[in-house]
Amino acid sequence: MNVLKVILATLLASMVFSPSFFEASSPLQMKIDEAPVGAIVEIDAGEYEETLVISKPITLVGNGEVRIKSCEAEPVIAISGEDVTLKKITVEHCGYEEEDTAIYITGSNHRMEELIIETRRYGVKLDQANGVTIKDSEIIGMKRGNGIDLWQSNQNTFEALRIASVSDGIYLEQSNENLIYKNNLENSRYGMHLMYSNDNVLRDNLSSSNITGTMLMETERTTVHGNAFLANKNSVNAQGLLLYEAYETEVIENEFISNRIGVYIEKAGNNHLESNKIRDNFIGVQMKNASDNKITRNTFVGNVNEAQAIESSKNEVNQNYWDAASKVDVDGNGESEISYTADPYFLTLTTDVPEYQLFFQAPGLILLQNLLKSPPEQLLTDSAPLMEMTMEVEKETSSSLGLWVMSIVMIGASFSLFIIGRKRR
Amino acid sequence: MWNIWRSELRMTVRQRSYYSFLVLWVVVLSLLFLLQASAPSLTGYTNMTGTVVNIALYIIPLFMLIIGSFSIANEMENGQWRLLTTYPLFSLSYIVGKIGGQFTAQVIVFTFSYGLSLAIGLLSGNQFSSEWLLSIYFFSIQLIFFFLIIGIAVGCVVSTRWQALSISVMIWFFLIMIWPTALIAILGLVPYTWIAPLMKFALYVNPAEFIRMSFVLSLDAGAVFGRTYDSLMTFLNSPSGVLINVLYFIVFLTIMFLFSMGMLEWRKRR
Amino acid sequence: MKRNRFNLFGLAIIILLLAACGNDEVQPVDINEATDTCEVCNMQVANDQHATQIVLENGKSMVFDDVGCMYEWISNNSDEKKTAFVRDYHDKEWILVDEATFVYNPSVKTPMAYNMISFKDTASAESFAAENEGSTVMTANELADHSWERNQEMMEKHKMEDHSHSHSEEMDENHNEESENHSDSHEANHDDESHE
Repeated sequence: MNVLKVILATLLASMVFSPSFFEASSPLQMKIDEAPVGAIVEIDAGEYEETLVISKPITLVGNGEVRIKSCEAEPVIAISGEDVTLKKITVEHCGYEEEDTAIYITGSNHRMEELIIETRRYGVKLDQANGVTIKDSEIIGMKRGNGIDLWQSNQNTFEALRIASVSDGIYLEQSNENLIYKNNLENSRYGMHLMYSNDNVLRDNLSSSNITGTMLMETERTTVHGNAFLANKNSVNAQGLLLYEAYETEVIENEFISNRIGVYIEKAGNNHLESNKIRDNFIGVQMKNASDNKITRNTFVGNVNEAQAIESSKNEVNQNYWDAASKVDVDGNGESEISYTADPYFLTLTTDVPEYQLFFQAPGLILLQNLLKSPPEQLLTDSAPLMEMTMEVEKETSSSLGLWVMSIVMIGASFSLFIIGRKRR
Repeated sequence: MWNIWRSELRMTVRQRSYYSFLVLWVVVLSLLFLLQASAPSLTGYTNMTGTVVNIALYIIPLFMLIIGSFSIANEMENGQWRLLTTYPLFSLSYIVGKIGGQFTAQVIVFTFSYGLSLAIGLLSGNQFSSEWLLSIYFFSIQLIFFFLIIGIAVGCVVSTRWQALSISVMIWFFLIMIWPTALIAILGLVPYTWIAPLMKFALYVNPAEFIRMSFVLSLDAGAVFGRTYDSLMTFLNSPSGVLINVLYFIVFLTIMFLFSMGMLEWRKRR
Repeated sequence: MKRNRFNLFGLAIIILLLAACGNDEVQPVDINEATDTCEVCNMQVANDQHATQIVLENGKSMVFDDVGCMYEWISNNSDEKKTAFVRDYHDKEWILVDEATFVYNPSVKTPMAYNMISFKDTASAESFAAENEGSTVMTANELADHSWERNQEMMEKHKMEDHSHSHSEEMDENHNEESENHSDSHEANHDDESHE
């Protein structure tokens, strides 16, 4: 056993020291090692094939087109300690191993700016890193491995990033009080994915064409404000936002447009959805076993099916605008006297037998749904739907000249055929 | 065949009921296009699209079944068909001529109404997307085609117009209104693992469902049908999927032709 | 023609029947990464060693991304007749739950952080446990009584840090299990040494 331990220790040691030891001749690592604390190291334009280890507070700035590339098992750049700054550098990891990572960060208060990160597995890993800022950068992956992966990392800021074609754009596990702001996440599995993480803020992000725009699982007190979730619809499991066992989430002033499901809430409670625009989704909001959530003043418009819910009658749903609801306002307070209910029939049917999902909005099924009225205590009910939308819904416009031509061609063609048909003997 | 085609077309466009269809389509389509004013977006699979599709699915198959079956039942009733059988006329060319003539006539009136309603919608200040309009148009044309053929086949079976009407309504009610209900009831009796293949089989049996599915798929919304159909949707969306559509069209046509022909030949012999 | 169509239909049914009768033994279905989501937590299921599966008596198959999710489903649906499968940690082979050996280790990352992995034979489970400190080897029977705490050590640390969420009950449980873990790993070490 002891022998084993010694071997292991030497192996480990050699792994840790090897970059500086073997590659002492490598120009960049040498420059870094020689630089005094707080120095600004400029890197000349060019491609460097090496891995870097930075453990003291210095600034690395690319001067022109700088590309640092490696296909080794280690991260291309490994950062620890405090106050390390990287700027204007392209980092490429070309390895195909499961855990290959372009940039590995631990420690605190580092800054990454204007980076371009290309990876085949992970982009940036933050392992017990705090107060790190990553901004104005781009991460492109190959749908395997997360763009930014946080493990027990708190109070970090991610701003103005573009992350595409990764597993999860930004993945947080056991990481609290992080700010995710103005990022653009697309063509990935999940745009933002929070697990066992509390008090995080997602603001003004755009999450589009992912399987799921944002997934909150086992989280508390997350703020989701001003984000847009667009066209997350190409997977059979796609949705804009999924709340699963998420509590006390504030979902305010977001846009959910053209998703398969706008918002899906399951087994989640005490969440608050207010003033969101839920438009043109196949299903606006879907709820399963959710209770004590407050859904108010949202605008539901253009969704093929506005709401489906099972076992979710104990939620506070009121004053939303539903464009499919029949609305009558007798006393003039802007609220309809007819309550709006979400029918659970189709969802119940397809939960038992998913094959029946083929009947989605089939004319016969709508008939059946209307015949089989579910008991009112099982329904998700908006007791006072609004008469007017709570926000402006901009209308798409198109040129009408082409349409006039189309109309005239249709009339003309059919009319001449009609004349021919009548005349011919 | 061409003679029958032409005379069928001429006869249909001279009927008074033909013009009542013109009025019907214009009214329905104009209403739908005016309704579009309240929808924020012009393209994609939205509730507006869903409504239009469902109304088309309610109305078009019913009328096409009735028109198709009447066009033959009428000739059966007034003895014209007896007269025709004295000519050396092949049943297939009779049927093809009938379908061709009716289809041309119905497409003409539908296209005319569509264009007119579009003009009405545009005059009232609405906006549309040409892509959306064309997909709805072709969706309706497909419905017209498939259900006219079924209607003609019904016409070959019945001997009076009353029979034609009742059978048409029955088929419409079965294929459109209670199709899901019936399938759910039947599939509740079979082992679970059979449900998926039987549902896929049923999808091809009912042209209304097949056309609806193709339409939703063409709007890039195939994901809404869920996990079971993912591979089917991906396949139908690929270039070879077009082949399947064409094949489906041919097979359906062949079966219906053979069926109608068989019925007519059988009646001739009697 | 009518008869022909009926024949076709009959043929289809016969084929289906044959297919249904051909395999008496319940077989797990392959994971489709593009479309399979966990029945419990809705996450996409990766085709890896953590995926698990339940096949119901009627042939309906459900997949889970973590063995913990599967046990949550089992405890919610205890009256269903079912066959449950897990996969071997090394070669991803499907194995019946009852024939598998499990290792619980809080530092092993699993998709839903239940920290439980499965092995097809006891030997490989034990050697994994020996190599990784803090492991507990369990059989399927013992699994039924497992508390399914998620990332307990980490969560606990967390809770101690912000004080607001300490559940004394949970902590006690954790402590108990931890001490068990220690004794187990010691035993494992002993075994290892004696082999050498």
